[in-house]
Amino acid sequence: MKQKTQVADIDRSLYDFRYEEDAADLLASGITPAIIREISEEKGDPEWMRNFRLHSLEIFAKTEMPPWGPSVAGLDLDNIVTYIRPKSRMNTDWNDVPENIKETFERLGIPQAERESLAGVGAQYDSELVYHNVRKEVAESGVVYTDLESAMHDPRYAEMIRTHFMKLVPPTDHKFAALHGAVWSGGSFVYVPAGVRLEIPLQSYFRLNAKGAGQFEHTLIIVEDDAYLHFIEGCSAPKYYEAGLHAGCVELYVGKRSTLRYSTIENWSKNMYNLNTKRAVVAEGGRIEWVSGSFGSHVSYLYPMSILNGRGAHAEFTGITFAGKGQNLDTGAKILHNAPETSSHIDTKSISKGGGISTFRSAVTVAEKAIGSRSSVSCESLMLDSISRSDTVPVMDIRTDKADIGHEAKIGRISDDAVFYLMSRGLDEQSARAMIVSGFADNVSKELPLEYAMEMNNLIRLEMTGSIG
Amino acid sequence: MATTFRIQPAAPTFRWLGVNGTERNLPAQLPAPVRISGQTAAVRVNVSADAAYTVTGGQTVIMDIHAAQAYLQTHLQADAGEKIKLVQIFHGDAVCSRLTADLDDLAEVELVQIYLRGSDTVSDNAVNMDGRKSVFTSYIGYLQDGDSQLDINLNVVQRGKKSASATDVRGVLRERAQKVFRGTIDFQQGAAGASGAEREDVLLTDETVINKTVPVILCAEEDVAGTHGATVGQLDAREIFYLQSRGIPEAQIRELIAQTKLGGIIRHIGDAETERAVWKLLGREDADAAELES
Repeated sequence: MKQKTQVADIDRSLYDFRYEEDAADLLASGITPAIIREISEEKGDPEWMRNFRLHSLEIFAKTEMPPWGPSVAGLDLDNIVTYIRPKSRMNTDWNDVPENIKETFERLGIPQAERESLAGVGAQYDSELVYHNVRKEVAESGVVYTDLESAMHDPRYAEMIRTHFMKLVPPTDHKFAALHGAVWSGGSFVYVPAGVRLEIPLQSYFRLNAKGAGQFEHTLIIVEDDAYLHFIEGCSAPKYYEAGLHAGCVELYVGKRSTLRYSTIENWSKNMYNLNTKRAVVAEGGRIEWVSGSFGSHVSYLYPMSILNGRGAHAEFTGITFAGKGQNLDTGAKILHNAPETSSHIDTKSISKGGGISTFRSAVTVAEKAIGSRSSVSCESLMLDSISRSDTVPVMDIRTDKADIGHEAKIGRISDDAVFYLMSRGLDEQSARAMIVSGFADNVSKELPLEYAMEMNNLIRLEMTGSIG
Repeated sequence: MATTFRIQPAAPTFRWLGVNGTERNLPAQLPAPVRISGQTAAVRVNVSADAAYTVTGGQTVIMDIHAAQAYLQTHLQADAGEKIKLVQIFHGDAVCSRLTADLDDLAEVELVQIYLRGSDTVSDNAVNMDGRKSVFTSYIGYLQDGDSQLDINLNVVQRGKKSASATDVRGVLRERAQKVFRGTIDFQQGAAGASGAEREDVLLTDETVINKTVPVILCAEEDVAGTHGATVGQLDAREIFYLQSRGIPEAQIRELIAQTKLGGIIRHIGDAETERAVWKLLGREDADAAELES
């Protein structure tokens, strides 16, 4: 009897440990003006931010849920805890971090990564940053890497925060952007001065430990002209039966002739709704490179957007999505060509198995003034069984005759010819299939630093079992 | 009282893109469908007002749609092993067309649609391939200029085992023309061994055009092969330079290239008289169809 080769779900045991929260640390669940004021009070917001939060709440109340994506019916916003008081103030010495939080991040390998391959690290536990550190030589070059709240209260950066915060992603963008504007907490602020090239990456890691809670960190990065930065973002949470919510926001400003590479390995647990918004604006000759691996979450809406505002600006999006049992991951990218001679490339892969649903969704828009622009989109989907789904929904909106736009999409199963070829080179069928599936993710892993590529490969952990008939 | 003609895409997306459907008001009373079947020769139909047709197997039908503000409804019923070919030439104004097709086992449907300069044409095409080894092939061409607006939706649903679909779309947008083409291949569970391919090639010749291309693949079956491709672009400067060096004025070159783009679709009409008529609509009365398509 023929038995199908099995590809295992991602092994999540590494991430599924947790600590009980003290109920006194949790603000009441729900989203009301009183709770927003309480969050603002807890955080010592300046007046403009308190008003911004309350205004965002009004927009949130008036805005409808998006009608086109995966269902978020399982998300009861009245029962989501939007803020958890920190057990510790922000530390710059790892030894000062509370023991259970320290253990959490040590199990996730964060301090080790900092020692070995990072220029700086930020670690957020529930609603607040608990650790932030940057190498001395990096700080001396003028690079600022700190938590957003500290920057907002620092006279040197306060005005910069005020003029950039939620200007790229306004609260009117969509319902969860409005929610973010109302309840945001934590996240990082990075400033790279003109001419500084940071050759080793910075990393922020976000851990949501509390049950039935939300995480709403805000990442704001400003890279001035002729500079380079690689920023890595990781996230995870233990699994609960209650729905959790991640509605973070990332705003990136890339200066003239600068490059910003933004890499994400997203591995939220399967009770999480990941409704995250990321956006970059790129000036003349600048470059934004997104590298994205989406493995976790119950439901994801994630489409990093690149606004190419300067002549010759370039955007690149490289992503992989793995949707297993119980997951509905709606991911992709948006590019706006808004200046002459801009260019973009989207290269994505998706894998669906065990009833998982993976949707690639994109929008490439070329404005009237973007003459001489070019864009290419390539998306490939691999179906590992017939109880899963894989959809691709791209849109191209072209408003000039002086542009060249291409799109290619392919969907299918593991090629029998490829399996046969590898078997003819001495591999058994099981190993051949495993190799093909691993190779499918190669577009992302080769774009990551070695340590993170290994983490991603561990995440996928494609185990092949069963006899081959 | 008017009824509403509505295009609802198989997979809606970001609202701000404005591709999640369209609506038009229609007269409440639509005519009863005329049945076309059992004819050995191709049947020619002139559509100059609201009309409805049902076409059954073994039939070739050529529709010349020159009505203004009209609703056309066409159903193709291809039973087991039957073949239908439908050619639709749209050159009226404000036409709403709805085409449905059902394909049984081993049935084959070939659809050729050409949209020429009609303003505000809306065309919704739904193809159900329930039949095992059924085959659907479509060739769609358009040339839109002035302030014309064209909205085409093609949704090919493949449930039949080893069913095969192929769609070739080529078009030209000029002046202030606007166009949306949504092409969906929907592989449903059970369509093992099915294949689907779709390609759209769009030439834009003026900076005021708006082109929206939405190539969708939906897949709930493992054992399928689906591909989608789209290219949207401008006239090739090298091509223009070469032809200019042969003494042809640029305006004429642009016209020639645009017509050549459509030639690849027109040749699939397969009826010399209709092909000549289409070339005439394109302003080419000086050559025979075979020469223009070569």
